[in-house]
Amino acid sequence: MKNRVLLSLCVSLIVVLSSVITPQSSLAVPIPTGDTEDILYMADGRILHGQILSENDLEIVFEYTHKALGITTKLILQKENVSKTERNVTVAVVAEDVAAEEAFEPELAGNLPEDRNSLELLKTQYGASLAHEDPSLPGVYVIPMRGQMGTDVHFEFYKETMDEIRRLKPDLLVFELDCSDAFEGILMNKDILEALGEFEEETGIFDLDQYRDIVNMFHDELRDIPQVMWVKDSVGISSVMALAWKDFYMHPDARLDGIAQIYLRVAAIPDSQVRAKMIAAWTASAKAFLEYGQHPLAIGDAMMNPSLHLGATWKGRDVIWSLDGTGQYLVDGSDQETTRFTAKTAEDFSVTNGTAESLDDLMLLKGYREYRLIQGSVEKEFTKYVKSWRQALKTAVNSMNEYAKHMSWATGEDTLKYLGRAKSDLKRVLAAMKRYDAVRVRLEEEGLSTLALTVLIERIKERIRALRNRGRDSGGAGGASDGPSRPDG
Amino acid sequence: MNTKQIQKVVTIVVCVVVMFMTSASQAGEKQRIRMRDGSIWKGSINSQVEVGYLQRNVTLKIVGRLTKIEKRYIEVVGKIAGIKGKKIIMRSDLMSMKTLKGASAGVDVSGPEAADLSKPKPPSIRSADRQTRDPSQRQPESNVPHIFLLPLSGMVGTYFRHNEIDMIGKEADKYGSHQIIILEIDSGGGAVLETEKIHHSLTSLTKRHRVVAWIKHATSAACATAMHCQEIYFMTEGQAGAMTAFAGGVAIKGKELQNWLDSASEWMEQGGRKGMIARAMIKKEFLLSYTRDPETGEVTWFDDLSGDVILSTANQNLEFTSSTAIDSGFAQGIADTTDDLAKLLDLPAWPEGVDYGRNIAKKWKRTVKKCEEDVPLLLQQLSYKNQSDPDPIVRLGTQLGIWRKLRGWCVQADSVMLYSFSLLKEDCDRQIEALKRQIARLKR
Repeated sequence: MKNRVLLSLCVSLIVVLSSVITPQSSLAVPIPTGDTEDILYMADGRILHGQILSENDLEIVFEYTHKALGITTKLILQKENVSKTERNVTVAVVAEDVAAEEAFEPELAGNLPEDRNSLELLKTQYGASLAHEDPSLPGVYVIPMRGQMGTDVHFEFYKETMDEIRRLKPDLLVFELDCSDAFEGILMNKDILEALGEFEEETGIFDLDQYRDIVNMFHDELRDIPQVMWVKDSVGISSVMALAWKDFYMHPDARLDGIAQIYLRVAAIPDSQVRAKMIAAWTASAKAFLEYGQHPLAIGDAMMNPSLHLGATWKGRDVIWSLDGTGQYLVDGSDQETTRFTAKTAEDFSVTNGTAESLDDLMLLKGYREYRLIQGSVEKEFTKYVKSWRQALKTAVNSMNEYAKHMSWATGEDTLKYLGRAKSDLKRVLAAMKRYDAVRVRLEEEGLSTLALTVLIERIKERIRALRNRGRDSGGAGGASDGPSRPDG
Repeated sequence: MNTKQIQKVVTIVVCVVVMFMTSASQAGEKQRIRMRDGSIWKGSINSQVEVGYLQRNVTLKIVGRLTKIEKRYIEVVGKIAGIKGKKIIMRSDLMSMKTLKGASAGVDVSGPEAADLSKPKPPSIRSADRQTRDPSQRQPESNVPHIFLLPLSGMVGTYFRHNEIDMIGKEADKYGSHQIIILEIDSGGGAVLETEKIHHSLTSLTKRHRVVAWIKHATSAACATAMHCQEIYFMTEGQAGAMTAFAGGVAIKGKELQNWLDSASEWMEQGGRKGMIARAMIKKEFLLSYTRDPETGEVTWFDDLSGDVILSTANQNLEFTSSTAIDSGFAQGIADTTDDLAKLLDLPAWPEGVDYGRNIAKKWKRTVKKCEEDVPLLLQQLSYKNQSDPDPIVRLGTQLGIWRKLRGWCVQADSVMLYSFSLLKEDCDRQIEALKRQIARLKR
């Protein structure tokens, strides 16, 4: 009996060993790598391999890895969509898979252009699927907010888009915000930045009233359409705009920073009572945007006032903020700098609802596997508008230079001729300021108002009239003593 | 089972029966609640009721299920501005109460917001307490109050004046007393001098009509206007406060400051709020905090930092945003559109044709804008227009024409000329007379 048992054990062992060492069996048996992974079996049939980063009663934050492309992306999955979870499964590279992956690579290289951007495009397939044609899918309308706040991102432009949005009836509005000033944080010494060559006109305009109008327009007039703020980058006054939406996501590389300027513009007022008034009034103006986004006001205070420390304490899924730095986690303990957020810290502290690298990612985070991008004219019109007003500004600046030149030449016999040209130069500048509010704003920043231009034009007219009168009286035209002498050469 | 065990079982059964009977009797038993005027409501817990109660001198109404009757307060669960809510009402604030027969609880039991793009999101209105006038104060159906909305925006003293407040008051008077006048405020402040005039206008107006402030932005003198109103609503982005008065970059001091503190406190109390709130908006040394009773919702104010919520520290004056205004009870609700506001005012819908106030505001705004464009140019033209003309009479005549235009603006927009250009009609008259004399002398 004992011998029979031993014999059968030996036979079994031989069978097992032989199956391991035969080449056929090596194709079917997994090879343990020593690593572990989590596997999610989705209700829609997908099997996702990766690591569960965190989970709660409703969601699983999952780092998904596609072996063939070696791409890892973070997904937030609703638990109700996961039918089965396997944890800490030993990762085994199956020779068949390896062979398949090897076979896939040359095919990929063969079918796609050499441009690596094409490979980047493949990443989109790991978010939701984009389909243009299927009208039954949720329609998404993307509104660009790029470039300079207050000039590129301008109320008048967005007002023009309202009719189209109403006509196309999207199911979701996505605001794609990408505005970063030339400076960062609270260091705003223009001279130093200019010396470094970093101060550009790209800095946003401080015009909270205009931004409030934009936010009001979308929130009030389109309140029946769900809206999402997706920040690709926000350094500067644009950050108050970003915080005006509750459904808020950031790109992995995005920053949320730069509103210290609101506090700093009044912090140096000499009279302490007036200073206290202005700090209260201006910071409240900024916090009004957070009220729209239903974000805790303490975040706004800490992002504006460098002397405040921000502390966080979790109560369940909610974060309780403190401005004295107390709490489980010290977010900002500096007296010199304001609180700033990256995509990661914003997500960790529930300032945002998640991090999305692409629109597909964003839609997946919103819980949609398929969506339809509504092809309106907004992107085209935005690009056209930005190009047009910037060109108009360049032309206006050139016209001002021409005006200075013509005025210096307006002497002797050519006085009338060049005064006329100088007048035309100024009229061109005035027309550009009237056509584009962005041009007016930028030129007024340089101290050139429409009133000043009107006065200059009227003064030239006055000189021309006087010269003509003098000419009539003396029988000639022009006055040799009028204006500075024309430069030689 | 021995005797002791039988006794134990009997005791437990008796206790359970007594407890059941007590709760059953509380639920079914007729309760009596005395109103402020001495009248008695009789009914039982879980009845559908309509309760009129006083909040900062304004009578409000809630319809819902009576869930608790305590010695000092009652609890009603009902729909507050479309949102399920529990309202604690102090017995001392009860104005009226009646049982509704066959009415639904009016409780919105909608679950958490579903992430469904196909379903449009309902308008969001948040409210501390839904505002409804006491039915006893309501006009008969044939005499429903008219709505008058007056936009007050821009600088106080130039764009934002007492004149339009008086005008809308006169228009409302045509329909009798107790009309609803809504002041839609959007201003960062302005001239303190004008606030005195506004105070007199509003003191008179609030005696005749129901005056409501609807705040988008009410800083400084604009807040001093809003705080006269017993009912204040905020827009989501609303802000109000920071009433420090200053001139030439320096805050007022001494007796002048004391007068302003006294006036502002009095006006704040006139609107049914604590005077200390106004003081914290004016001088940074006046601290302010409050504690809200989690059960009753009653707010207790402190002129130090001992309250649970700190509103004003030694470095910063008080400026409310919408959430702090609602939580502290400074304002009664949030409305972003006229439809939202209509709900909070317990109107079936925002009425059509309430354009009188908008029209007078638009007309005045247009006048001010034109004045602000014309006057700086006219002042510049004094130095160059026709000044190269060889004929002195032409030169002087041109200047005379300009001064006449400036005088015209002094008549048409006196406050703008005063606050923005420091120019009075009398100054223009002096210049005009002097120029006339010069021209007459030349002509002689």
